[in-house]
Parts: sequence; structure tokens; C-alpha cells
Amino acid sequence: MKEIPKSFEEKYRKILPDSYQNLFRFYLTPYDGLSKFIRVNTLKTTISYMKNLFTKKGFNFECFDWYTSALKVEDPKNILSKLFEFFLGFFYFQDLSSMIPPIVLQPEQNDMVLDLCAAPGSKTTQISQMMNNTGLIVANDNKIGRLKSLRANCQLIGCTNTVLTRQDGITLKIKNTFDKVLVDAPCSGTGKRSFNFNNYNRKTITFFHNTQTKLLLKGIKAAKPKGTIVYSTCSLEPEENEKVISNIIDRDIVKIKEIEINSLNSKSGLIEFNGEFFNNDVKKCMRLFPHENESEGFFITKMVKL
Amino acid sequence: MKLEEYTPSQLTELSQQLKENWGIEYTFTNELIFEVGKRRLRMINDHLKKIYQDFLNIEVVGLYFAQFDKNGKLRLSLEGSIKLGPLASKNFYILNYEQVKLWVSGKDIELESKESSELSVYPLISYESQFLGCGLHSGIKKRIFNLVPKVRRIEILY
Repeated sequence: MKEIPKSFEEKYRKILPDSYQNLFRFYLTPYDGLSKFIRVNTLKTTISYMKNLFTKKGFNFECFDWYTSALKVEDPKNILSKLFEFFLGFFYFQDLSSMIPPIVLQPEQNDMVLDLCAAPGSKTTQISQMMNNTGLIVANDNKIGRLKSLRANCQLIGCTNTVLTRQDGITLKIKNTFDKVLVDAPCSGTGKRSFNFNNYNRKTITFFHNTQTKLLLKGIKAAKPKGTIVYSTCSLEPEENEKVISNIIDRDIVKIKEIEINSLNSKSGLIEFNGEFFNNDVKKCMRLFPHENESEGFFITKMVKL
Repeated sequence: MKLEEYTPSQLTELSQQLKENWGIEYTFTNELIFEVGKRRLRMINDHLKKIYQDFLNIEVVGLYFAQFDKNGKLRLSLEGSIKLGPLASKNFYILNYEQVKLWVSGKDIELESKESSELSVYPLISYESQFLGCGLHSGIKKRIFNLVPKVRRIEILY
């Protein structure tokens, strides 16, 4: 039985004074798997084809007006992955909130995009389909095992605009090259239902904070002037989110932009936590709490390089 | 990874093989083709040229779409067949529902003599206008051997 540690409980009582119990319930309730979020792969099929197919096969599904490729499909018999269309790569399982960073990035046809921490490739392949397989995506990760899943997913989706590179993002030397950069940074993962609370400690959070700041700085360096950078994590920790962004804002190298996706239950970034004040612009960041969207927790920031 | 892209003459040769094997008329104008290990061919947009590659430790480029066997015969991968299969005019085998269930689970397909005589070494496999890669055809055994990668196989199809 999962137990929420005292330090976590105290922290989130402060962050969510009115609804922390709902957040804790989310962690303690096992995933029922009765419905799944999918992304229709528009490189291989159409949204209307998949909707017709699901209707014909008797699956109930829900659509989202802010991203028409996303569907929530009821699958009580757990048979979605046994469909012929899954074999063909016509759809891909992806958590709803994980689809948001690429939407915020807004990649366009023929863009040059860097996905700095790309594996396992859900967001890379989403970006690829948003660009309709044009332009170029440099999808980087530093672990060979993780690159295997990235490679397999790019193949499944049918991406002809991806180059997979293996290097520690912190050592990246490329400058002023990309129109768009996604830094979906490694994090503690406290926004995930599967988060292991045994790993929750200050040392780990500080380690991630330092790594995330270095990665984001490299991402900004790799972007062209006026290029867009999106920073995201699946962590709910202010140290991995607002604190990283606040440090970056203070360097005067980016301007934070508002995120305009209104159909989700989201909150603004925290401007203060535990007596520490962050730059006021972090209010423009987006916080998604898992219990409010039946999806993973996420933190997303959009910025433009000065 | 040292990348060596196909030359114009290699691309012409590749287009010729596509035409000879499956009647596919396709010229590689906006894509770069690279041959990597096990004579696999990978396809990527020519945007790759716009980037200074020396700063990147490239592991994989683009999509694996075809492979030469040890005799120099070309076969299309599953994704290669999805991309180029709709242009094919010959050397394809259309599965029925019972056969497609076998095919996606990794089983071979038995053929009638007449069916077998119309196919060459690597026929494209299709079902209801969708392409599912190539099989390896044996005229002697009257069978199409399954080449679906293990990770893509589905035991029971709904």
C-alpha cells in the first residue's frame, strides 16, 4: 500500500490548500485502465477514419476541441492494442497532458526543431505529425536504452523528418540554429500516478533542479534569436519548475509568453513558495494537476529567445 | 555515425528496382537516402543538409523503409510499404480476413500454385487497401514467409 510521506504532504497542503486531499487520492487510487488517451497518427490516417472505426467497432470515445488528434477511448476489455489499426501505427497511446508541450511549441511546416530530451518519443512523433513530416527534428537523448524506444516509436509513426542523436544535452555545442526547441527535462516525476514516494527527498529534487537549469540554458542557446523554447516537466515541485524558470528570467535571455489553451483545468505558476519569491512572470507558466484532468501532472512554460 | 548519402546514380538504380519489383514509379527528389548496417535504407527530408552535423552525435537518420538482401534484392519495410505500396501495380498479394489474422501474428501464408506463379521474391502484402510490408516468397514451397518484425506482431486481432 502506497503511503504519502510527511514532507510531501506538508508541501502540497501549502500548494493546494483547498484540494490537496484530491491530489493524494489520485496517487492512492490504482489506475483502472478502463479508458485510454490516444493520439491519431495523421501521418498515416485521418481523424475521421479513426472516429468512424471506433464507432463501427463499438468503442465510446471523447474528443477535445483544443487538439483534434487526441481522443479518450473507453476500452474496458483492453483490446485497443489488438486492433489492426494499432498494428499499422494509425494511433499511439499518449497521456493527454503529455500532448500539451508540443501544442504550446506550435511547430510549423519546414521548421527546424530540437527536442533535447526526446525519449521515448511521444512528443517527438507528435511534433513530426504536426509538421506533416516536413522540416527537421533533431531528437536527442543521452541513454542508449531510451534511444531504442525513441527509434521504434519514430519508425511506428512513420517519421521521415527526424534525426536521433545521443549526447548529454548539457554538453550540446550547437548555437542559434533551431526555430523551436523543446526541453522536456528529466524530473522527479511527482506528477505521475506511478511516482515512487520512496525516491522523494530534497537531494533528488536539488539534483534535478540543477540539471534542468543547465539543460534549459543549452536549449535556449541552440534556439535562433526570436525562436520559441518550451520547457516542461511531469513534476509538481516548485524547485523543478518555477524556480528554474525564475532563474532563467533573471538572466534576461528570454521573454515568457502566455499559454493559450483554455479547455484544460490549469493553474498559473506559483510566484511564492515557502517564503521564496519567484519572478512575477512565472504566473504565465501553466500548472496541470493530475487530479483535475484525469491525466498526468505537468508544468509547461513557453518563452521566446531575446 | 558517418553518414554517406546516396548519389544520383544510386538513387536512379533504386528507383529502377522499385519499378522492376513492384511497378512503383517514384523519384527521390526531396529526400536523402542513406545505407546503414545490414544494407538497410533510411529516408529523411533534405532539410538535414541545413544543419551542421559535426556538432551532433547522430545515431539514427529518418525512416527505415527498405533493405537489400545478400543477393542484392530489395524489399520494403512495413513503413516503406505504407509509404510506397499504394503506387504498386504488380507483385502484391491481397490477404483475406483469416490470412491477415495469421500474418499480423507472424505466421506464414500458404499459396495455391496459380497464386504462387504470379509472385516474385518479395511480394508486397496488403489487406483492405492497407500495406503490411513484404513477405519472402518461395515458389518451390508455395508459401510466403512472414517478415513482420517480432515487436510489431499481434497474437489475437480484434
